Amino acid sequence: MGSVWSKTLFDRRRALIWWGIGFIVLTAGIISIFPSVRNSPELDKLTEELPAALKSLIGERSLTSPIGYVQSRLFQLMVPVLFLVFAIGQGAEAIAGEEHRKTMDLLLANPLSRTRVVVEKFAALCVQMVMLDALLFVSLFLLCRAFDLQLSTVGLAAASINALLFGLLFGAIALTLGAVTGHRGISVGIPTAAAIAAYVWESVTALVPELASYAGISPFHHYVASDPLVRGFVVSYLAAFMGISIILVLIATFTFSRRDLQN
Amino acid sequence: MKATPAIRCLGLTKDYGKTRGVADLDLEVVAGEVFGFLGPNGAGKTTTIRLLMDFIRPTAGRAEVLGMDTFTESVEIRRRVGYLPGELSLYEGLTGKQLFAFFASIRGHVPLDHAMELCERLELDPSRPIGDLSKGNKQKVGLVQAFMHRPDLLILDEPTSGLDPLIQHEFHRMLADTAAEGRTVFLSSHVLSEVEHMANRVGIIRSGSLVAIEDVAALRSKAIRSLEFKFAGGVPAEDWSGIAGVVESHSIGNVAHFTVEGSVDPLLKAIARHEVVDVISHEPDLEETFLSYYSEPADG
Repeated sequence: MGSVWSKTLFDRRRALIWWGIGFIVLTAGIISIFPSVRNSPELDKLTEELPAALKSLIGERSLTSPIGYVQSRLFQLMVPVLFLVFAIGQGAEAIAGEEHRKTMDLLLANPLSRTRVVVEKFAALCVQMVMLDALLFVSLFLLCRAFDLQLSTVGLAAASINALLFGLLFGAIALTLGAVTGHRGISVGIPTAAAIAAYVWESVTALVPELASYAGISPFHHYVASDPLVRGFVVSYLAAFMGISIILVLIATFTFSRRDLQN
Repeated sequence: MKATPAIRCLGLTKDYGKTRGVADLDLEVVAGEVFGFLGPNGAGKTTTIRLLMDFIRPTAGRAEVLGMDTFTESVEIRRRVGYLPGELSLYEGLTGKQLFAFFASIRGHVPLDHAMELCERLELDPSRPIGDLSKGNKQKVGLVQAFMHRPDLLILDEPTSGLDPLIQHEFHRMLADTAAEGRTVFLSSHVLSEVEHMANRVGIIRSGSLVAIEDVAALRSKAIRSLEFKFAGGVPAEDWSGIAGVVESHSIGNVAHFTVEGSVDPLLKAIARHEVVDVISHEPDLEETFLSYYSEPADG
């Protein structure tokens, strides 16, 4: 617990264990029922008859194929939403939460620059998400072997990292809003609203051909379009998510260093 | 050659709009002194301290702490300063010892033995989670983290709030030790009695403006206090107003009320001639005692 980032991890140790258990239970629950789904071709018929609006919710591939199943049940919505919730919560906590609980004065009475506090808090967020993501990847890898889902390891790794970076982007938005405003409600509320809007926009543009060319406004579109289970690592998508997050954190250090702390 | 002042404010101003904030504060705290910063709640004490700590930035003017600029050299300043916030919020999930270890580590491996020694002096159990501690014990955690790295300057905002009298006494000894080692203490309070035993000088702040800087001895000679005497046989018919120091007097039944400026000795000598059954001496109230000297109540 010798630095701000390691202290943040120490504070989070119990929560991280519960999140980890949650990820294992979720993946185990979903993968373990695949064998019965695989043997239900009528499921594919059912989904083919679904209206387009609902199809976009589950992805485009056959639900009875391993890739289609893992994509629709985990990576289409569930995993990115969990990462979003985690990242937005922790991103808002990083600066705005510390100010809200009025411990920022005490922390900054130590010889730490404000830049260092922002960077270490962001590092702590990244480390937590990497830990969860590694757990997600390992449990998926093992479960897919155990239940005989033929998925490429690279694809799984790429999908896990894609979800992590997508979540981290919104975590960085939350952290930056906290650094700019010091207000926890704003830091949680705006990124949450933005994520919901991104999801809705992706669904709407999938349905309305006239709007399709504007789909790229939504980060959710890029999250799905990078299709990592099939295409593996597509550097341009991952670099874009990471690059925007880093730019946001730079903005956070700049503004946090220049404003008054909340009283 | 004059030593570098521990604190120097030059026209320090924080404009919060109408009410709070500080205006055009000029103040110099000499290295090695215990300086009391007195003023009623809301006068701008905490604002001044947060400016010195670089938590907030001045609207105008500037300040130096230990000869360094509060904005450009803040990190180095905070390395050599111990700080206790007025409204203390701690990491409730940590134990005292974990908190001290965390701060010691980010300060660059400060040994923990002094912190443990201070815990013993203040009768604080550092192994308990801070969230389980009483207000007084939390305040002790705040004091220990301010003192533990033996800072050159201690900035303490209302340090004794919530401490019981015995612990306050120990705290006064900690301040005396600090002063004896030539280190500086900047102590804010809204109670005169809290600083008058400890401080060499006091600055008085009111409505964001520094209204006076005085030696404590000089201040004491101006203190206004109120006294009540209950007489056995009714209030003697004397002309009390002639006694040195008595500013005002009136009586109800067999109780006489006096307002005395400076020494109470002449009044006591005069009263001693009569049979007194009870005496009540009130704490000199800072606001009524001093502020009337230095500034007219501007806005009631």
